[in-house]
Amino acid sequence: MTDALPNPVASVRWLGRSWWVLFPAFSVLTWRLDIDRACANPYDLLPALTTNPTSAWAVALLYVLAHVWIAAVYVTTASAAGTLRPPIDRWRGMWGRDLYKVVAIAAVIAIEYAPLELWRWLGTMGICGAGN
Amino acid sequence: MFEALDRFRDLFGARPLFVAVAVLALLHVTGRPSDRAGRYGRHQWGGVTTFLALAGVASLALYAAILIWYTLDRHFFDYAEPSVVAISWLFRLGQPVYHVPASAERYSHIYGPLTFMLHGWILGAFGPGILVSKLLSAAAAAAGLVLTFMAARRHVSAPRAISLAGVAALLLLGFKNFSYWTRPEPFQTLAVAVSLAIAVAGRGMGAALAVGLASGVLWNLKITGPLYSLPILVMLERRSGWRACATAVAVGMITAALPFVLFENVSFANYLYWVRLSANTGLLLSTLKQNLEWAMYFGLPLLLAYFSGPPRSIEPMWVRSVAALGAGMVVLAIAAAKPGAGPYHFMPFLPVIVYLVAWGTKDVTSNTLAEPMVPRAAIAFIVAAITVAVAQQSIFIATMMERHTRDEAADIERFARAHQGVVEMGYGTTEALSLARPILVFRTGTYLIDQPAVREHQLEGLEMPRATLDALAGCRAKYWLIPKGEAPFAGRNAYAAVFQRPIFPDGFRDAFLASHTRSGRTEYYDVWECTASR
Repeated sequence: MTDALPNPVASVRWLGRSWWVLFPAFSVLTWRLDIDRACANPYDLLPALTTNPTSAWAVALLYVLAHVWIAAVYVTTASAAGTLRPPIDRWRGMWGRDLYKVVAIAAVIAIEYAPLELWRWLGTMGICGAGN
Repeated sequence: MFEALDRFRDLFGARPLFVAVAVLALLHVTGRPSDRAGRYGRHQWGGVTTFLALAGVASLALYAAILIWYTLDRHFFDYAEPSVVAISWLFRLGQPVYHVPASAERYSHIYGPLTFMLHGWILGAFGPGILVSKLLSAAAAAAGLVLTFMAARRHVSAPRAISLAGVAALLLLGFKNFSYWTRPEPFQTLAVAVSLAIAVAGRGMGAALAVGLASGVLWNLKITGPLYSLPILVMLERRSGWRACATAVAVGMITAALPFVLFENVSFANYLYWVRLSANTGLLLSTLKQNLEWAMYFGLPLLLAYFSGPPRSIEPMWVRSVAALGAGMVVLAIAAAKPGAGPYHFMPFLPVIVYLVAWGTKDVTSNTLAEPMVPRAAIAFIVAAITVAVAQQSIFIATMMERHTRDEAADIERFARAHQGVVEMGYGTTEALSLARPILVFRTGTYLIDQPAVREHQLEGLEMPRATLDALAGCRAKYWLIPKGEAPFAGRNAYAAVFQRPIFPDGFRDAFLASHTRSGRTEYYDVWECTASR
């Protein structure tokens, strides 16, 4: 099943390297977005950045690339394992010491997709202070 | 009732990926232990194909019924549908499709000129009428589905191709009436389906020319058009070679440019001005997130197709086509995060997705199914699509049934027949009663104010020009029809960046009130008559 896809070893290497650029930037972006969700208008996030077309596209590209990264990780692993549900051993075998990178981005994405109500509730709990 | 429907739609109507994942998890938890181990996947395949066929056929029937029901109704659902129809009639009369920024008229939108030209030609041929425009869009939507079926049929049996086209119809039902409204999307989907059908069936330069023509129409309809063509060009290259692909691109570019060259009332400079202005509004990250969810949801069938077949059965060209599709969808997810846009921009990808699923599953039977989880995931996908369709259609149908109880078109026609001078549709605090405005444009051939355009211009930071106020105060229109009991031009903007700001500036409303008095009433409208020049 892997013939049609790029070499998984090369994919793992490239994904592992790109993580160093993507993860810090995406984490900061998610943190800022969640602050806005909690403390400002959740339907107009980071307006200072997103109303300027250049910075808006840069932020959007970062956001999208993080999703593409995790999707590529899943497809690469699942394809190598030949199943939609790759067992944990396969993940370990394929990613080795880099598995923490997958877990870290998955965790940030999970935070990003937390229900809006949670952030609004946190906003009422006094987290909207000097940081915002 | 609307509140309950809104709540249902908020919860389920815009989150198909999460509904699908939730259903899949539920099926997994409630399944038999032997099912969880995956041993029964092959036995489930037959049941799933039956379920898909039933859902597909039912969706096609429902889609056709709702499409016909909406088309034959004289009311519009969406606020920009009448804008397109009105501007199309102006095009037919030789008036500019894109006016200059400082002109008195305020109706320019960023849709490509063919959107208006196609409607303009059909209105010219059959006579101006809302029904005529609606029929054109409905025909385009229906033809798009038929061609999608024909493309899928190249790889799978007729029953399976019908099922897949039916699933496409089910997904389209998740976007209310957007797939057959009088905006560009029906033409976009049809242009994609036409170019796809030719690219996968034809060969050589003939196919290249035909794909180029259809692609040119697609690229002209919206600035994002080329993104939909990426997988089709990859497939064309596969069958006809790179020369054919380059020819198709060249023909497409010429076709897309032709309306600007051939028609004096289609100004490229003005079009570019409005597109650039619109591009400056930035992006909404909340919409981007929604777009990505939909992109992943639309990608789910391709993932299932990839894993359903026997190992190493997938052709490299299939993967390349999917990669081109994915690249188009990713960039479109960003472009469609512009204020006012959203996941409905993915609709024109559906013919390609259906075709690729047909191609990827052509050899899959209950005996060759490789991944036991596929049947269950397919059920989850369909259940999510049904949930979204029910949520969206319930809002759409309830809204249209409520509008169906009124006959403002007859009211407007009665008033216009009985009065001399130009009658224009005005706006109040609500929008529904202004949607019949093309009727007046058909009669008078003038269109001073298009509220959706003004709303967009405000978001873009464009001031209302002096010429508009002068035209208003100078009685260019003798009568304005304002929804009964509502303050004239008192609507507020719903775009996040200018949320709740009055759409029309104080100067505009002051000029209107200073030069007009309320002189009468019809069944649905207050009549405001211009008195300034008396």
